[in-house]
Amino acid sequence: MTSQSVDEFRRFLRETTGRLSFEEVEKRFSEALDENPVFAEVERSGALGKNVIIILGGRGCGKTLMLRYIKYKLAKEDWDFVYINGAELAKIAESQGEKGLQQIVEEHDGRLSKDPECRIVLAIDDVAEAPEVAHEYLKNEIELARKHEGAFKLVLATQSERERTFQLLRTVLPEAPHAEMFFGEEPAKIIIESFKSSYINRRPVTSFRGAALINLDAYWSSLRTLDKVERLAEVIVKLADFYAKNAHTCTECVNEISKRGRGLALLALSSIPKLVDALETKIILEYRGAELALNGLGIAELVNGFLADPEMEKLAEKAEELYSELKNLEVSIDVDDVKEALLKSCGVFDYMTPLPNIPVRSVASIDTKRGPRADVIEVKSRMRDGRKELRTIVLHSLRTDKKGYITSGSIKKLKELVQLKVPSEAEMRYLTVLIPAKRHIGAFRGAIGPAEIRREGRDVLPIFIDGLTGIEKALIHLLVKDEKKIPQELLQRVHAVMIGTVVLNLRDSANVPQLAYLMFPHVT
Amino acid sequence: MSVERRSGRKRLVEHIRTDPFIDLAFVQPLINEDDLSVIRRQAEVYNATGDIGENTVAFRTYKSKVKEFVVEVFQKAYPRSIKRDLNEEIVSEKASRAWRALVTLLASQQLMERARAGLGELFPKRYGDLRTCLPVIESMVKEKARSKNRRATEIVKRISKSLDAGAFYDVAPLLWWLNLVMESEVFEALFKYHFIASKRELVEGFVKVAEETLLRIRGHKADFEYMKSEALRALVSRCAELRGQYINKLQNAVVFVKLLRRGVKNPDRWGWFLQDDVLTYAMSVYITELQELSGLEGRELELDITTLLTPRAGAYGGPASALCTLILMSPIFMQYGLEARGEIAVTPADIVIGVLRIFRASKNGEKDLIIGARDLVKEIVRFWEEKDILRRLKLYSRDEATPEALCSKSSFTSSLSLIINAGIGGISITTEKRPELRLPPRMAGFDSLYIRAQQLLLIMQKVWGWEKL
Repeated sequence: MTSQSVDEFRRFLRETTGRLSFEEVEKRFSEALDENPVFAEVERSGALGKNVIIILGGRGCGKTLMLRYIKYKLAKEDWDFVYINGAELAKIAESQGEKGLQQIVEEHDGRLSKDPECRIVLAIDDVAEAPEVAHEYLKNEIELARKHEGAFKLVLATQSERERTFQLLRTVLPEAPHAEMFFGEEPAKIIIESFKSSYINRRPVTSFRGAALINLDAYWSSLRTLDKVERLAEVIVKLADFYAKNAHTCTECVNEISKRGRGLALLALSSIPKLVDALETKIILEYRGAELALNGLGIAELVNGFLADPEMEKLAEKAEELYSELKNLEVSIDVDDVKEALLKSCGVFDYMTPLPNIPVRSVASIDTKRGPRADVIEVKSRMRDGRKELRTIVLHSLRTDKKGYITSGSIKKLKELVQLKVPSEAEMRYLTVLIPAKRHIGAFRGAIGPAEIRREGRDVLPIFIDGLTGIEKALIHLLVKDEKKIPQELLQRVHAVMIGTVVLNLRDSANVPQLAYLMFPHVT
Repeated sequence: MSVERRSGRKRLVEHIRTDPFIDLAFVQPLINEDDLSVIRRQAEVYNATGDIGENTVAFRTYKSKVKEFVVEVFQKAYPRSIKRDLNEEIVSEKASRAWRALVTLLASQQLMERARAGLGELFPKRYGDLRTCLPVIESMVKEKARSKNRRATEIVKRISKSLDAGAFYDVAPLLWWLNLVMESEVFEALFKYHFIASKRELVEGFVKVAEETLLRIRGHKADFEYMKSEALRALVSRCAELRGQYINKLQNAVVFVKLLRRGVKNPDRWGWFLQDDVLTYAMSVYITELQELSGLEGRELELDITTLLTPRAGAYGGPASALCTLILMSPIFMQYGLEARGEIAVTPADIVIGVLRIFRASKNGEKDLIIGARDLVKEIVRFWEEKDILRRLKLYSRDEATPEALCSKSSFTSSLSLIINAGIGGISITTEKRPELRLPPRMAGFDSLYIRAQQLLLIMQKVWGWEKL
């Protein structure tokens, strides 16, 4: 491997990770588009056959690159690709008003009406940057997609974290004429719900009647689990190969990366997904914070770092060894191990404070002198507007006895915590109950009682640990019982894997990763 | 305000207990960023589950400190009696009402945002941002607390005059609502008055008989109007447990509702209020009519607003709470429409009443039924006519109050959208012939309502807390 070719490859990666215009993306990425694993997944889903395609994702997830792929793919079928971005729409709206925007619609309508062979894909990138005045224009374009079904395709790409994105999903798209023909009945509800659930259900493409919603972050969430490290390693290698082919250099680098693929994958999983507050709900997305994100941008940065820094190479090697050890380790864990691992791991992050075994009255101001004690985690997440949101997680575990029944002591304490009104959604104080298996839900519900059952899923959160995979259990076991076995330089990363990845697999009875919503920080 | 009605005590309105400025001082400390964020989230929970959050730390902390704040502020106005009269029981009740008033207020605003209908139409646009109202509340409290014997009516008049029309209409509905909730016993008395006065044949019959009997006396000149107005004043005195000469005490207790009216020439007079008021009259009619339509047999009528805002638990707890807020807010929607725009608004309470009236008339058992939107509006107009609401509305608005005109008004579809978005599963839209009306936010076409009677009745019963009986 020559240092010149590595440098060239790294330069290509560095330039790629910056903000690129569509023209630059098109120029840079012209090779092996069919080999990109993300595109392959979208292609398999049939999303490109729909009349309206919405592409969502956090910064750096590859939305513009996805548009490049759509252009390439549809060009084969003689579609004329028209690209415009939100900033250009804003300029048109500013200089010519709504008339200028209407002219675009009329131009497309005219072309399509005149020529029955004409087929147009209109791609609007960064659509959330378009001003409110453009909303009517967008509705008209959707109307056009209905009028010229099969001859006109509308592709909208936008960053998930932008506030206007939610406005687009909640009001503009559902209120477009004939929205129900594209999205089905109750489009406002269904679009937001599909977006929210796509990440947590690890489903990158949601197909509606005549539209598709592609959440690129959900593609990465489908790989955010320790039992898919090998698959993630493959994706990293394929992406590196894709970059290398487009950089026209250095296939040897790809070989090096493939040798440490699983190590790199484990390091990639040490990123923390982020939260965005949106219209009475929270959305999880992959977003770069202090650490790299698990997305196209993050993988490019990881590969770049791996090639540049020998320390990183060593780290990847150790991560690979650790992964092998985890894979071969067969252990069983209980609810208290999970609780301890959570308390240990959250202490590594500045925005979380573990408060083990403290009197509950100190966080819930209960009017009792004694009261129970509990393990508590305080999460202070900085919001986009600079405010800090304090979430208090009160941890309680339902232990089992030798016969596998929930002990009466832990049920009694759960009852007490609920009766003392420790959980309070309005004050963001949540009682998280770690439960060994789904079959114990009856004991949980019996303990909180019919009067308080409406709290389940709101501020009393049953979390089942039987959804954890073997490798995740092994990781928890190492963190709690055998921490010395984890190389010191990897320890921080392993704690991050616990919070960013394992927590995503700790789910409630409706398969919602409630703890993730409480422990992940906000996009700032 | 009397927290507990004692059998011996006759006076319902008294200083301190029923001073709406003290009520504002109870609300004032809650309008800060930290508490408002808790209240905002609690409003979401209230709409979803019916829990109003009186066990939150924020509420408990507020309750433990509010007395100190109020006593300090009103020390000059009530130098001797404030500490004594604001006993623990009253402080606890007032604090609880202030909390409930704000939670329900924000709950209604959230419903409007969710439905993308009603804000700027049924209520002011900036309605949810309570901080914009804070300077008005602060100046009212400051003025009243400055010294002894400051006249409530003068303060309200002066401050309301100092506000431009936009600011006045932004703050008036909030002050009406706070007044209604915080002094709910006094308003209960007024609702009792409206309840009896709305039975026109009873009052007019008495006036006629009395005057005709007096005619037998030499020199007596019949004056039916005078007799009627005095009879009504006597009724209000009886309902408020107050001797006639103390009627200004009653006015002080309801000062925001009575005096914050730009549509009335001399709002401190009583004649218009007793005979022509819309806000309190409609509230009384809505509450009584809905209870009767929900299947009252053998039950006493409940007229206390704070009781109606009691948290509801279990199945339908959330929708029932949301519907309860919408019903109680409906007279304010109606009054705001009249005051701010001179328009007649069809409110959520009108729609529910219209539906229940048609349902009762159909004698359909508890089977589902479809009601044409036009038939529903016709029924609402009939209800307004029967209950003397229409005459009062026409006094303040030049709007046409025909079914055709009201059907095309956005207040009808906005109110319907609020009901549907509140999760009231018993009412949904459907199209029988032609989708001539549009329901926000998606502007879905419809011309009829599909009523799931059993579900709607269950929710209605939950609204009045009857499932406990």
